[in-house]
Amino acid sequence: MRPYAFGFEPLFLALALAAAALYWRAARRDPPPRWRAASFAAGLFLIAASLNSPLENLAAHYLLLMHLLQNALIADVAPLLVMLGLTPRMREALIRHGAGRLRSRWILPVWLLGWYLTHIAPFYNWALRTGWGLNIEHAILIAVGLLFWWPIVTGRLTPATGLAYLAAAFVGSAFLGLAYIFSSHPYYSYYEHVPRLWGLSATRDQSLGGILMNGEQTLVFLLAIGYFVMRLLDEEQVSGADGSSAQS
Amino acid sequence: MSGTWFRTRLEQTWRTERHNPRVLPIVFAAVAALLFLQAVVRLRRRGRADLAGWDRIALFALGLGVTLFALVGPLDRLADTKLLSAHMGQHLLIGDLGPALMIVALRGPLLVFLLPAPVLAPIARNARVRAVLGALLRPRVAFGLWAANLAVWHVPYLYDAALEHQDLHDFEHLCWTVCGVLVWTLLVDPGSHKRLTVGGRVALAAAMFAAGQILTDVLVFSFTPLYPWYHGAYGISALADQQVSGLVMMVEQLLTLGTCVALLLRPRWLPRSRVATA
Repeated sequence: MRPYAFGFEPLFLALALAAAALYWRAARRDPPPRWRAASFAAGLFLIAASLNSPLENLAAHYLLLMHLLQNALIADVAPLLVMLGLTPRMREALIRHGAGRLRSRWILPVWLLGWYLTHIAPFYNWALRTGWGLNIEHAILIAVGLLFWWPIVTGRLTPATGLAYLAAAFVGSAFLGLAYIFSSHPYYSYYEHVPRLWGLSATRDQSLGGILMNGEQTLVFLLAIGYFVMRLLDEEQVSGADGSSAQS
Repeated sequence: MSGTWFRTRLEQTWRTERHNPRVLPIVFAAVAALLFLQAVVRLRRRGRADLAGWDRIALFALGLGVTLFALVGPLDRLADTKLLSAHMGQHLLIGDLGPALMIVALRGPLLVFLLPAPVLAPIARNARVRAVLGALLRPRVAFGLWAANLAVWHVPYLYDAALEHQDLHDFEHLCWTVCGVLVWTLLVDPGSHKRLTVGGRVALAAAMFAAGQILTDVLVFSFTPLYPWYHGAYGISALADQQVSGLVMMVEQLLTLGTCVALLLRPRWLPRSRVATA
């Protein structure tokens, strides 16, 4: 198979279409602002395109670097965009259907567990060798990604708890990327036996994957932390704690 | 007679030892320790031992200890000749952890008692000194200086030049300490001047972490060694050493700034959890 040929995981194409249909139905009752609709669409597009494009083929048959890029997109960026696409009424509907019971103190360990378990070598190799196992890996990553951003977008976290939540997630998840960067041997036997591309050895490929993952997480988490810091400052301005007169 | 003898000996020692890189840090540390001790004694004599307890003494000693360890201990030799990561660790100790611990130790009246009255009074009365200090402790100025210091001293040419010239190296270390003292004064606010709100201090800590993260990423994600002075040592390649130095910076910042932010936000977490459990 040519490296830049299209690869497909049709399950996620179907799920993205189903999610788009559900969103369209909900949007008829509660029209979202344009930016929310665009965010939801961008999130779905990222999931569908990452898993149904040459990136999928490169990730599944050639480079760990591309696989980690794919995972970072579907686990971190796309879920955030999808969640931002929900209007308050859509979120309330989800809360009525059970999402209200989700607590950040449980979500964080579940997210970390999903993040690490899907990347441990036996599971990763198995998923790549079977092919269909990749569907399970990617489904877990998308699910825990959506779960992770839920308390952030619902606004149920105070700025202080939001900062603690994000800082714990940033530190907790960083070890995986760092392990890839600093390891002197490849973790995944599958990628030791695939055709090499771009002159990258298996170890170099893994190191670059770690760099990419770490860079992406740093960017996403620092942006989210910045948002909560701004909320903290706004809160102080409203209460007058910053020395300005309190706003009514 | 004895005064002349002492001055002569001092001048002789200065002439022979002034190029010894260990002299200045030890002299500064001794002066800082003496100032701190006299502040503790004066405050205790006024019956306020509660504001000058052993916890403060331990914190100040620890801050001074890590600074001295970084500048005159084996870490200094390692930093100068062998490992970039050791040099990074040294800068973090003298520019971050050391100042942070000492400023935390000086919170409250101890800060006012740090300088003896005959020294403090003319400084406090001097409008120019007050204006300069006021300007340096403006959050944007302090952060700008800190970030510029971080960026400038990591330019490979300057980094290597400092390693080649001891005077420049001493100046570099002075810059780290001064900039560290400025930002940590804003973060800890030992004199309760309230130059920043809690949110502002959290924002400053986040900005410092973000700025540090840029340098970390450059060091960790670089494909080639950036500092020709270092060739790797103890089986660690120059590139791996450089990546470790980025990691050292990230971990140290997470610990110091993370602890600072956690302590600042702790009061906001407690009432919420009490409300939630009620």
